[in-house]
Amino acid sequence: MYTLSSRARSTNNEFAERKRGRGNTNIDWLRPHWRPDRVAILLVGGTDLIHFRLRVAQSHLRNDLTPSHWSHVALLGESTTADLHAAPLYEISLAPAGGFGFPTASNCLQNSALERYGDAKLFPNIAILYLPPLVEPRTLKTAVERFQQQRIVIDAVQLLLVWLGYAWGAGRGGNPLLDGLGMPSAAMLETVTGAAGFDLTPGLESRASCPEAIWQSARWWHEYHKENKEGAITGAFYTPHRLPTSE
Amino acid sequence: MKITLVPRAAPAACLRVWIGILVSHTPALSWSLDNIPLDNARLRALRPLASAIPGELLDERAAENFTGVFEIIGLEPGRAYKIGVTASADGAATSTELRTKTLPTVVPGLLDGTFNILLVSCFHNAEDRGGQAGLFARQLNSAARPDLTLLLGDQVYLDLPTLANFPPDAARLARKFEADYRANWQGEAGYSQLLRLAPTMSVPDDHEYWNNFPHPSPFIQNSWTESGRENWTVAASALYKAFQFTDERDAYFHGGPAMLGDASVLDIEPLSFFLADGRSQRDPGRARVLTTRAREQLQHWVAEVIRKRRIALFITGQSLLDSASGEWKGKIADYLMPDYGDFGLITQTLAKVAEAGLPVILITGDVHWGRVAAIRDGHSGRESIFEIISSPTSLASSIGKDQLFSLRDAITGQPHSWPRHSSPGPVPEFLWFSRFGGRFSCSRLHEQVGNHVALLSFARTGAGVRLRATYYPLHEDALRSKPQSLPEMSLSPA
Repeated sequence: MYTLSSRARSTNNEFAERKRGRGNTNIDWLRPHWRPDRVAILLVGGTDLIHFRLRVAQSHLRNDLTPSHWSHVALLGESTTADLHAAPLYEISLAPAGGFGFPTASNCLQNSALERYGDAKLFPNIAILYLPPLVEPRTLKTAVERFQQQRIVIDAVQLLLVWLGYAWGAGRGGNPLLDGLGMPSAAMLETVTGAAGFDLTPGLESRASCPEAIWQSARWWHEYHKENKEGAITGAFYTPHRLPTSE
Repeated sequence: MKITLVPRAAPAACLRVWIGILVSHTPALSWSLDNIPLDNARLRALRPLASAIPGELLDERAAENFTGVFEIIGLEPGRAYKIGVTASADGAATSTELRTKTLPTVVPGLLDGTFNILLVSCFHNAEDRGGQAGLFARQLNSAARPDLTLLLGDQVYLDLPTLANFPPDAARLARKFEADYRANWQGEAGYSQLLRLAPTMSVPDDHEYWNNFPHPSPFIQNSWTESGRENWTVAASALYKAFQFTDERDAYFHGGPAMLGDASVLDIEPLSFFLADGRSQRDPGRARVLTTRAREQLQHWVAEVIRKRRIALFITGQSLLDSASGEWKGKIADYLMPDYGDFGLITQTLAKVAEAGLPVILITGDVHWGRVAAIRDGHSGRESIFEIISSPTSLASSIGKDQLFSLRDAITGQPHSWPRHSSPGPVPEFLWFSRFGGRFSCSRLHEQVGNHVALLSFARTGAGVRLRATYYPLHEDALRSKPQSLPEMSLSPA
């Protein structure tokens, strides 16, 4: 499982580190960076056992084989700065707050709110990615609606079951990324942004989408996106929680 | 009187139709579109209806098969239309209809479906006894229905049956060849059903003429003398023009009517197709496979692909990954692309696309097995060149070889699903042409043995496309005809 190396010589300076103030929530951190005019993607790196396993699974996409800073990715809906905690979130979580119900009918897409990832202790790593103006919010919204009816394009139910098997340690299930099976929320995002004309993970040759590939895209593939007239990802991040932790 | 309509690829706002009518006199035609009569302003003849065997090759018998190519303009891209034709002759009238679609201008986005291309090559009618090609055509459902069909060579086997005594003169040869074409194009079932699935584009290979055309073949007595070769060439070219030639009014790059040996170009953003006729005007002295005009077309196309940052699809009758066959093997069997003087120029021109970091897909038939090869660019790290081979749709009989395979199965007691078919050949370790050194490394992604067709499904994402290739075995046993889908391939500019 490899990703292509970008030819960029330096990281994307429009996607920069912004520290979170002591005692602040993730919502507090996001508020000064919020751009209501762009399509926004949320990356989080969690600390509980499932998130830990997901971060380890993505280490194969990193040159140093260290676990990823990221365990989950979601699409943010329209919101004002004041109501950010209630900003709608479109995702495929492996631990949805209200349970799974019968996910097949919606191709596993879940609706929740940003406040779910507000706790900076549970989710110390956070990034907000803004897609370029080429990706119009209305187009993406239509793509999200169509995603729920297009299992022939991407079967998120299959991905969800495979990743639950890995996360819960069922049987002898290995790392699904090594079989080219992307993490469901990242695969959903790649599909809907692709449908809107934006290649979210140009460093991947397969559909093994995952938060780490999206992170690398924001950090290193800005020149590629500009060369292909798509425009670069912009935004901010903060990654205080690194694995493995030092003594 | 019988009318056959076959859709041809055309610019997005047009429909092109090949028409064949079995009748003794030139009939009068009246056309309709979606049940409304077509006026002359929207209908034009790219090749007016005429005897499939041209007058100078007609023997004492009257013409009995009339063919032509017509174009309907002013249409919407990607829309289904119903074309109706009524032919009237000798006081009788016959009608037929064709439902077909105009080509889209762009490949659909990921969630909007796929642009599907059917790859068909090497069809020997006599060996398609169960009509598998036609049965398959009926089974393709809407999601897998082709939008375009590429005929990759050997759509007819004019030189079969092997060891037959073919007539020496062009007129009688033309009768034989017309019958071969008629069986495939104008039959009730079988191959003709495949031809009607979607607009078609074709490149010829050697059996549109004779094995190893234009060189003498040890198996074809007519090819042993210069006059024999000339008579055969005249007759085969005439029938190729009557059934397969593009009849383009405005030839790519050069303008004016297309000539035999010209290439065809089709753009469906971000894909750009170049169909190279490397056979019709191939030099007997092995100096070239492409005409000067076609090489100029290629150079212009490559420059345009790079300028517009398109994904290049280069379609040929033979593989570019082959190594030269050598003098004796070439004379007895087939000379391959690298055996000709312009191979370096062709590959160096194509290499410019790869060097510009743009994906290239090489598509061919010819070899009687299927294969997908991926070629990784050491500079970008990306798999940027793919070769897709789909062959055969119905394997031609090979005297000697078939009997040897039967003997093998009898001795080993292990009957094969495809006893007469050979296994795919190896891919070179590196893309050896065009002085690339070790920059492009090749790997084999898939092998396909047996009669089949392949469907390529493209969906647009960002500046690139996703490609899924599915091979459909054509076997009478349903258990052996399950389609095989390959993992999706990602083709993006580097």
